[in-house]
Amino acid sequence: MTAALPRPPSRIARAACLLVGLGAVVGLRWAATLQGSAGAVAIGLAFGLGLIAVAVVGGWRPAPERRASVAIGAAAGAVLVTLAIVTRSGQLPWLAPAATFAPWVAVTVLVATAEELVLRGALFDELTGSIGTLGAVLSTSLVFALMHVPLYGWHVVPLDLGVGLWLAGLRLATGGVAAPAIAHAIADVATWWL
Amino acid sequence: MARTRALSLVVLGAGLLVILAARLALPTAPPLYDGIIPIEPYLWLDPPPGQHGGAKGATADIAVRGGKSRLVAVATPELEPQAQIFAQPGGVTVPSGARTIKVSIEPVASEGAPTDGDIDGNVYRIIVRDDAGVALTAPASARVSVVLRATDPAQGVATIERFSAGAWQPLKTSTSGFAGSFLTVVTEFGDFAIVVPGLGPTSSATEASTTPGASLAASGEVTTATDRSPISNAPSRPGDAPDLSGVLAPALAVLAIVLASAGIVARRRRHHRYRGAHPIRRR
Repeated sequence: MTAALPRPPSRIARAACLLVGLGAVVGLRWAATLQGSAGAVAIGLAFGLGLIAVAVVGGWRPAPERRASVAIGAAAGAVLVTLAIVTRSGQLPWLAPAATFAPWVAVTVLVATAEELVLRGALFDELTGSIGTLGAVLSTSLVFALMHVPLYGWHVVPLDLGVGLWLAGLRLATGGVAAPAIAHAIADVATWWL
Repeated sequence: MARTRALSLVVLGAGLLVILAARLALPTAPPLYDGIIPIEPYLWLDPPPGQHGGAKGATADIAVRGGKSRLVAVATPELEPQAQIFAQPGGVTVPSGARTIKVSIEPVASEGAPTDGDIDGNVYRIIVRDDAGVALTAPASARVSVVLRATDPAQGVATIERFSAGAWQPLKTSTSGFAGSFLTVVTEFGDFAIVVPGLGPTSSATEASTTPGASLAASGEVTTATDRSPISNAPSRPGDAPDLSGVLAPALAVLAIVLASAGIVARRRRHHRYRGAHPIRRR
C-alpha cells in the first residue's frame, strides 16, 4: 500500500505565487518610501534582497550563461541609454540624486539584477512552461511596467512596457538573465548622469 | 532554436519601437527605466498629524556674463526636490549692469485658498532678483521651468498654480518625470503651489491667511505658460485625465504586430517540423 504523494503545484500556480510575492515586496517598498521609515538606499537594499528571496523561493537557480551574454547585455544597455539621451527634450536639466555615489550604484545594480531574476528568470520560466514563450514575454513586460506605477505614476507604463519587451527579447536571445540584468543595470546607473 | 531567435528579434524590435513611441509622445517621461530613486517623504512647512515637518528652501547666486544669465538650476534639498527652478543660459531677462542674479526658493504659508481644488503640500515662494534687488522676469521663449513635487509620488493629475492679484491662477502644467513632480513654464515668479482637485484639506498651509499684505507674486499678470512640447499629452487643468492615447495606440499596434509575427513564425515552424517528421505525407 502506498501513500499518495502530494501533487506539485502547477506552473501557473507557481507563477501566481511569484506574482503575489513580487506584489508584496513592491507594496512594502512603496509603503516604506511614503512613510519615510528608512533611508532611500536602505529601502532599496531591502527591496533588492526581498526580490532575490522571491526569485529563489520561486525556483530560480544560477545557471551557466553564454559568454556573449555580457557583451550583448552591455550593448543593449548602451542602446537604452542612447535612446534616453537622444529623445530627451533638453528643457529640464536633471539634478543628480544627492546621495553618495558608491552605495547608490551598488543598490541600483542590486535592484536591477534582482528584478531580472524575478521577472526574466523565475517568472519567465514558469510562464513559458504554462502559457508559452510569447505569453511569458508579454506577461513579464506588463508586470515590469505595472510594478513601477506606485512610485512613478501611470505615465511610465508605455515606456516601461517597451523596456520590458526589450529586456525580454534579450532573455530570449541569450537564454539567460545575465544580458537583461546587465542592460537593466547600465540603464539605471546611467540615470546618475542623465 | 531558429523560432526562438526570430521571436527574440521581433520582441527586441517591438521593444525599441514602443520605447521610441513612448519617449517621443511623452518627452517629460523620466530619463530612466527604474533604479533607486531616493524619494524621501514629503516635508511640510506646517505638517498635518503624522507627517514630517522641516521643509527647506534654497538660494543661489547666479553669475551674469556678457549681459546674460548663466544656467539657473536651483532646487530644495529634499530627494526628490520639492521645488525647483530651471532656466537655460540667457533665460532670465537681466538689466544692464547686473553682475549676479539671486534666486531663492522658500516654503511659505499660503495667502489664500484656491477655488478649483486644494493645495497639495507647501506653497513655495520663488524669487529671482538682480543684485540691486529688482525682480526679474523671463521671456516666454526662454521656457523657464518651475517644478513642484506633490505629496504623493503617484499623483497623476495636478495643476501648478500661481498666486496673483489675490487669487490662485492655474498654469499650464505637465508631469515632469516621476515622483509626482509637475512642471510649468513661467515668465514671472512669486508664490507657486500644486493644486489637486477634490482632495479636501491636506495641509494647514491651505488655510487662508489673515495676514494682510500682498504676495510677491501679486504684481503682474498670470503667466500663460506653454507646454514643453507640442506633442505633450499632459493635463492642462484639474480634472483632466492624462491622455495617453497617443502612446497606447502605437504601443497596442506594435503588440499586435508582435503577436501576428510570432503567430506566423510559430505556424511556419510547426508546419515545417510536421512535414519533416512525416516525410510520407509529402506525397
